[in-house]
Amino acid sequence: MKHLAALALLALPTTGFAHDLAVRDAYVPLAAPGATVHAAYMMLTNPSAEPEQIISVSAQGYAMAHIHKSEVVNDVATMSMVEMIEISPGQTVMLEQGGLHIMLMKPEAALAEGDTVAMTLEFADGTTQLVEAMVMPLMKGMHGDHSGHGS
Amino acid sequence: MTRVLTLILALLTSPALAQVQGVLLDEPIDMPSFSFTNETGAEFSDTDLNDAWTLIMFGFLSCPDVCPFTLGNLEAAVTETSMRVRPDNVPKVVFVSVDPDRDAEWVTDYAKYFHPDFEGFTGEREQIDTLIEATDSFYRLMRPDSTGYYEVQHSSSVSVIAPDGTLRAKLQPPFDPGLTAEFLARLQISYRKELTQ
Repeated sequence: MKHLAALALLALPTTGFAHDLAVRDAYVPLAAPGATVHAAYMMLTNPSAEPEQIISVSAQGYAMAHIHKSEVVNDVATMSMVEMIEISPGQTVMLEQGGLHIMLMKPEAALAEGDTVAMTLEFADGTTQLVEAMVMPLMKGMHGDHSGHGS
Repeated sequence: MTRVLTLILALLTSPALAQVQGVLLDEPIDMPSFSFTNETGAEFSDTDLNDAWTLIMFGFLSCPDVCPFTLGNLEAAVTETSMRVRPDNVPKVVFVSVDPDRDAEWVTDYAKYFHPDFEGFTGEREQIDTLIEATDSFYRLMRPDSTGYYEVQHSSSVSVIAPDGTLRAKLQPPFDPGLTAEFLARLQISYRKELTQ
């Protein structure tokens, strides 16, 4: 059995390891009935010596996913597509409520607390990284795991 | 957009945490007659504004970020407010979708997800425009993309209607529950003082 396990490890695809953004607090808030668009939030840190450029995202269980940004300008809430998230060496980028987020469109099924949403980040050089986000109540994700990281 | 909102009421828990949670209007603004419906057959009209405090939020259901967090914060803010004011002064929360084509079938279920007492409505474009204009609010349906999906821009602030049916204030992001409750409680005190003068 040990040999088999070792072989299995060797057989894992290597593309997933080309980019090693540190991902923390990835979560998808539970959504209200009728909401055909969900959001994913997370904290991404680039520990490498090279800048990282995320150019697209896909998500299992959704028809589409986009990198999006919410803004409130002069009391008007707007959203816009973001072409790329660039993370400098050592930099941390927050995907958080009211700002950058991953917009998950047309869910195939309703979410339940404790589910995970698997997303694939695609980088400018064509490599990818898998991210798993926990599904949790709306305000819990906001006030729980993320508090204290802001300063 | 031309009306001047002044007298900014900054609620300071400590100088370092200064946040503006709302603005008071110079003069109360009367609401015109309007009428909305929802998928349960319920109605919401200008007469429903009488004898209660009402918070009106505009939004749309395909809004993944701003709308759910605003409603989540309003739920917490109203719960906080209920600990500071008499039960009959706890504000009603009404969510009005400006995107009836996509939202009409779900708007009640959507609002009640955030609190069982929240109400959701939508209606004819003309009715939406009437209430938007009366509350000095804004929305715009953006051009659809190749899949037919479209974004909606909308006011982020929440209109505060007093029991005399007039618009008195706007709540503003980030809708901190404690500070928003404090703002609403103070607004109610000044409203009652005005009535007794």
